[in-house]
Amino acid sequence: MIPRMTTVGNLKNYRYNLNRSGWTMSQAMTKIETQRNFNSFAEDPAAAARCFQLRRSYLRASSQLTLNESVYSKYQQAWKTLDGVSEMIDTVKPDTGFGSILEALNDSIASGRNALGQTLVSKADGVIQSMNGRYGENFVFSGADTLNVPFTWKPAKNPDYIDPAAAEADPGNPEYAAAFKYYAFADPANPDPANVVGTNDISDLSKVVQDPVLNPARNDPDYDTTLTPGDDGYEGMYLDANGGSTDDVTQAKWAPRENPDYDENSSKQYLKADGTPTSEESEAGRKLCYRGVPVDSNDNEKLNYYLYDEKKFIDLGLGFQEREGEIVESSVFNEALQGVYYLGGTGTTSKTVKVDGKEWTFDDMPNNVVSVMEEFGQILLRCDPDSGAWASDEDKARAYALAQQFEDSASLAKQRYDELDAQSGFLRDNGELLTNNAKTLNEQFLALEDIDPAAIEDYMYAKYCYDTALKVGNSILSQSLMDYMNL
Amino acid sequence: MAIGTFGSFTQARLAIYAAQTGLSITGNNISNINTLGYTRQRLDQTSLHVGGSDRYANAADVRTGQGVLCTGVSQLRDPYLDIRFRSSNADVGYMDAKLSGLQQIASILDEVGKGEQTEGDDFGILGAGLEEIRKALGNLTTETGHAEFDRQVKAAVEKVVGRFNDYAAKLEQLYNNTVTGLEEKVEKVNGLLTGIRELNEEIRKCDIHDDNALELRDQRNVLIDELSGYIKIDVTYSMEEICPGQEVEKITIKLDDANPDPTSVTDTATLIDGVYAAQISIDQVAQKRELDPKDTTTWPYLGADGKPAMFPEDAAEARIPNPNFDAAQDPSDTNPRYLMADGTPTNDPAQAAPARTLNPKADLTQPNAEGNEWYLDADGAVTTDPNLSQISYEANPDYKPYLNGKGQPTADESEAKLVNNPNFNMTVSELRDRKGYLHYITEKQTPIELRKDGDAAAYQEAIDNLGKTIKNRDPDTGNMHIVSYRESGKDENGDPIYTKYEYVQVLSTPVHLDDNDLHGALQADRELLTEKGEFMDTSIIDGTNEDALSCDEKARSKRGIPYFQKSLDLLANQLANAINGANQGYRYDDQGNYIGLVMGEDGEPMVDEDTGRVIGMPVSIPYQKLDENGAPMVDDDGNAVMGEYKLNKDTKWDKPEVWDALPKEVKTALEATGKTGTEAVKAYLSQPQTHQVQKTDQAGKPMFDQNGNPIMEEVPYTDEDGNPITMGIFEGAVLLSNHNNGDDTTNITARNISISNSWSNNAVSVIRSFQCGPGESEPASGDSKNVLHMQNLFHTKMDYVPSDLFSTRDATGDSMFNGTFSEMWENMGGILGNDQDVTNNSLTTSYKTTLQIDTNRDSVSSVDFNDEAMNLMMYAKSLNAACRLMTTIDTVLDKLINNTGVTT
Repeated sequence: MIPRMTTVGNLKNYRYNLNRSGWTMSQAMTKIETQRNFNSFAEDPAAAARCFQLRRSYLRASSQLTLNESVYSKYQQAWKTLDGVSEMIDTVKPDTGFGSILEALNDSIASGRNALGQTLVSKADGVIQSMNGRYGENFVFSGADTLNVPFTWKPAKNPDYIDPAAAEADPGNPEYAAAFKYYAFADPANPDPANVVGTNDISDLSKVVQDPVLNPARNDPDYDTTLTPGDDGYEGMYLDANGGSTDDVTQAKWAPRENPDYDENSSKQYLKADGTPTSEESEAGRKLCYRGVPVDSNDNEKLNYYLYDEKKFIDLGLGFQEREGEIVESSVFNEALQGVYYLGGTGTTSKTVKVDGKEWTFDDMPNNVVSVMEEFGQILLRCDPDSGAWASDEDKARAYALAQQFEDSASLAKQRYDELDAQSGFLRDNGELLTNNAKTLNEQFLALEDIDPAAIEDYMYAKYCYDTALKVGNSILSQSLMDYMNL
Repeated sequence: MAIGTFGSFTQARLAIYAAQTGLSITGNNISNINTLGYTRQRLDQTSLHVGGSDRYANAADVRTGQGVLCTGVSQLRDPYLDIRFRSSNADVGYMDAKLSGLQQIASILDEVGKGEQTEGDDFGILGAGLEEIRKALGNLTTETGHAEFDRQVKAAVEKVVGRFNDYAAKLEQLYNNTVTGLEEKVEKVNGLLTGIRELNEEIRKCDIHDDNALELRDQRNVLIDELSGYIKIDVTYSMEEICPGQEVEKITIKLDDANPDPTSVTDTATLIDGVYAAQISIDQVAQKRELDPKDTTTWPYLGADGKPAMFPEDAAEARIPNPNFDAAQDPSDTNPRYLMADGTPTNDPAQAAPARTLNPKADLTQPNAEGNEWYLDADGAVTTDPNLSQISYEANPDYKPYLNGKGQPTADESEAKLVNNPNFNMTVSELRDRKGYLHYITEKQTPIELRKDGDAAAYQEAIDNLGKTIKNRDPDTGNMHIVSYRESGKDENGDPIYTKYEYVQVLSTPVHLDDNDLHGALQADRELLTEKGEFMDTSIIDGTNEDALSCDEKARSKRGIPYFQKSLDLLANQLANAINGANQGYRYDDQGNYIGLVMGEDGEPMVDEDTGRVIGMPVSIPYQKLDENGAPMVDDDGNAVMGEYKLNKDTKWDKPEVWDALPKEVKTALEATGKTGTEAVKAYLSQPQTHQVQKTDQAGKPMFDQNGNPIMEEVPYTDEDGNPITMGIFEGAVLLSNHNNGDDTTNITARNISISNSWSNNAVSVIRSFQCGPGESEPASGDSKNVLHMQNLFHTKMDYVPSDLFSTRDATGDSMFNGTFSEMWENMGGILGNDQDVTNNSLTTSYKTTLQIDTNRDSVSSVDFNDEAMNLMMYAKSLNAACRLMTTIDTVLDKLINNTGVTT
């Protein structure tokens, strides 16, 4: 049987359908207005989740791109710095550090050696100043220690220097033996010549070990030895144990027992440029230090760490990952630039040269090109200002050895400069990759989110349906048998 | 039968009357076309036939009808469609309320299409904020050590923290609003029940007076239809005998068996029974305080040390108390606190008998033995074995679990403020009529035949009360027992046999509804307020919680506001824990060895001569090496060959095989901290470094012993602030806390997560690295290893475990989700979106079904203009015809009377 469609039923259905038609149009309208396919998770949970994922990837790619640009700029600056350094240490071009070295080795123009020495020292300074440059607020070449200046010149320290305070605090320590002139009893209450420690204080004779083999202690050296007993001003020839004078050699105080290991130089903290110890800092030569450590130190734990193990990682979109709490190194970029690496490295090497028919072997040739320049400069500065003659044959031989070493170090520095160049290239390529990645991601989520022309058609169709539904409603309300009744 | 002369007039008159009545009903139908719930009416007519035969009637006479009679007005209604409509309407009510709730949650948490200008409009807010933190940390990796970049991280975290707080506050507000909504809906339901009861009463009166009360029925149907949206109901109609020979219609409305558990009987509780109606209420309970780790008055138990304990596992098992114990005195051997199993007092808890579920009838001063069993087992049977009895714990005497009306803690439940129970359990009250009289059902008991040779007392009672009606009310149940006796025959001895007739008036009682007894808008609101999904207590899910109602099997997949609150809390908690954990630790060297400062003779940390920086060296514990046979090694002089065991961060300290393989000296040193595994290592590293100094007296003079030797003492090294210098170098502090006035990290939730006080005041910052170079005590100034690690936290997939939250510690310990912070956040949105989508589809389906049924109802019951126009025409024409009939009869009679046989 056909259901009886009543006016009330029709109206109820119409109301529901009109409402739904209006809702459909409203949804289509919202899409057009917001230009989005969906405006809540509920409308399309899967697409919404996918879009958030893509947007998150996009944000990450964008921030990685920003970081990449920052690191790339830093590398650009590093590249420019090393380019300048490379110019200065070029072994082919004239007017470079190597040019000065070659000139200095030429005896025919020896008189200019002092000036060349000055030039080389200045060039060494120039290289270091360049290498101490910053990018933003960070030092470019200080590895992971970006807030502290990487290269410093420090007074050359005497490796044999013994801190008097430390020695005094531990006088029995064999390491400090060279600091003491004399021996003292380790236990004054129980004087035992076999149990001794070092001392420089001989004021308390009871504590200082006397050496019966040696001469008795002489009196004041200024004492007039021509006086004889009975003369005015006569004093004994010897000092007694109480500090008085005596001629009785048996009463004389015996000389303190001297320490054969005593080294006067152990009290001098610094080394001059020619390697002789000095107590004056102003007289000291200078040593290049990287992050506080002299670069010419061999097997230095800290320098080795800086060169090979210290890293400053950054996430540049290489799939950053940690495994058991440790960063997977291949998934990140190491932006730590160790300045000392780009200047030929650390420590010293051995070099043999034959000069004037004599073969010289030097085991302490610095690997670092700046140290080479500095030392070569200092040797030239020691040359005779007029004749330019070498200060010594060793200086001359060392100069030749340093010249050879310069070539080796400069070559290594250039190789490392090329490495940096390659890394810069990588950063440039990575930047392009990230840009493309971000663009692709942008396109992907916009393709999911943004409406296409079909949405406009949908809206037009929804509006058409809604308008028609309104017209239908008008007919429903107006048409019935009542309107045609003619009683 | 011959018609009377004027009989035909009556016929015409009845026709006119019927047509007029028809027109009136049609008019009424047209008038009420817009009246909600109006059922179209129809005139019931019958043809009038006068019965009986005329004794002298002509056999050829033809019998004709005498016109039309209006026998009544009836409604056109299909009860089956009403049942279907109401059942479907409950689905609509449920889905509609649920969708409405979910939409309100989505208005807070759904970030699709939302966003801030910084990144674009559509990146979300909290989601984009999490990425903002990651980005700020990324910037800090390149700009490590610069305070402004640390502040950028802080600003990004602040933004996210603020968003957590805001969302949590809005969810809380939504929860409170939903509670109010539920209370209003309960009031509404009660109003409907009252309205239906009153209409029933009116209709009943009308029925008694043969008034069909159609309009009242329409009103009642509207109310029932409305009620069906709130609660799924079963409506039945029956006839009720009000006196011999007269019955009236009675309507009964019950809950419609909504509980999927077939054993449930409470899901068919009666709401309306004729003129009696129940009311629904939310069960009220004493307001309880949350367990607060910082407030021991919320801790229910006492530990073995006599201090309050939060959980049973930390509590001491309760012991049988000595009834003669003087609580005013301290427990002692002379004032023992407990009883041993033989009833002897003791003050030693180890000797005391456990106080499990005690047999109330036992004499505790006598030994626990057969005949005087102290305990009750799980089934309530007496037993001497305490192990068969439910375990009980020492109670905290300061426990104040309730809040009174002023919001103050109290131990007295009777003083507590009454509030809605947390599960919003409901009770259907007893049925009462308008005057408040309780409804009862009379149950007829099986008659009992009493013989003289049977139960003598009963027989005598029958004799004594023969012919009387005895009424007795059961004091426990309140039910009335009505007893009468009648003689029903004679036995073989000629003695009378009596029969006992008993009727019991069973009083209506309240019904406490189970968790799933309801369906409809009311249940949807309940579920919005209670469903926690995976955060549900496992004891409720597995049914071991005896206090809980039986639980919905689908409880773990049902998610209301609490689920989203807890999920947000869990995310905030996980974020805070991860960031705080990453920002604290001990420094280690490039080999992973934990390092400490090397103290000089002068009591100051030693400094590297070259670099001028403070030296850091691995923390190591000396131990005697073992040879390949495992024997302790000695050198040629017989001295032990010693090694230095370095504490390395990469060692798996918590693995038993690693721990067991430690050199005994190392293990001893670590175990001396009172801990094991990683915790022991941390404790060891946190111990102060000490050195020996000569003790001084009060005047500051060095002290010597009797032999003149200096008296030495172990003194910790201290830094310039007087803090001890520890074995390891601890670095960092919490960045997120539960309030910005401190650094407390307990129970961090989305509502309270804050930037810690230390970070707010710039007293701490993001720790750049814990790794130091060789011989160093500080990481390089630009080392950003830890910043990168923190950044990686935002890439790292983690397990989100419901029981990790303090407030849901009894929930499952299984992971509910594995993903990054952002993925967890999006998962919440996805779950919400899917729930909405499913509910929306269900609602559309239910609504369409309901509409279809309603249309079908309308096709039977509602007014249609065409029909009524037809009726109008029909009755108008009928009236015309009747009038024409009247005129014709009049003309005929006029002819007959005035013109027949008359000639002029």
